[in-house]
Amino acid sequence: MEDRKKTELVPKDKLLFENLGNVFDSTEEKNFYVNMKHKMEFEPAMSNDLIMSEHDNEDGIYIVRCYDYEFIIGWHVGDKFKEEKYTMNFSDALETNLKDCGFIDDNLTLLEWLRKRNFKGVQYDHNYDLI
Amino acid sequence: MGNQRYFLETGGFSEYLYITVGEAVTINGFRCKIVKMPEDNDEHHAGLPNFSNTSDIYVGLGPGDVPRQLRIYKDRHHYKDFDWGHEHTNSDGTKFPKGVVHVQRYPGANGGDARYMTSSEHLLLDAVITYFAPSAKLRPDN
Repeated sequence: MEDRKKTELVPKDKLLFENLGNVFDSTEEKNFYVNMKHKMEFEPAMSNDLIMSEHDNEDGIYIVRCYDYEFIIGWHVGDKFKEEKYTMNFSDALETNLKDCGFIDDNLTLLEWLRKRNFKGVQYDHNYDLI
Repeated sequence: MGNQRYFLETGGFSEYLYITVGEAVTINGFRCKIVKMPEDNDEHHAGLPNFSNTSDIYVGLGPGDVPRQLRIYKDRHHYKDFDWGHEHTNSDGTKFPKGVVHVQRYPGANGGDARYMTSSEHLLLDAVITYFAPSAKLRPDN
């Protein structure tokens, strides 16, 4: 695993990180971007990487990273699941509108939802390749 | 079956992370079975393992215990993935619709780019995929 070459991000994600600058709304937001960039570039997740569990937020949202930079966003409460959103890159994941997906009532993108909770519940140590 | 941390070249693993769901079957010479990670409960967030034990093919489940991915192993190492549980878009914009099997091989020259199954893959694996996921389409409409 340590010998694996750096994964080249897709142009849209490269642009996202280039344009971030160094001003963030919070330390947690900065940590989120730093950790996610590192994961996508250096920490493949062939068996997936759980970024947010539905048990760690009140809305039942889960976020899973697949391979390097593909993402699943879903909703699971009790024994009910809703149709998952699958994105091919990080930017599209952050831009996913959770209301349009039928996950929440508020008109928020995933990034707006994460900011609203100040990234509470996000985890960086649940890569199933590494546990 | 498990990850690189527990893989033993001589066979098996120092610790097993996944369990078998149902019975293993042999189709076209491939030993195949559904596996899941107990730690994952019924959430289906964990994908298929990086390494196999005695099987050639593992099948992964999605929400509702619906099969959504098949992983084939070569010399116990992850070789190719056959997915039908989500829409896939290649770097050039080519789309592979949900429900139709697309193939991904990692690591690859184009990262996560996919393709449809080749003729030889159809010959060997159509029966396997259909056994586990009868509703998965093996070819696109056109």
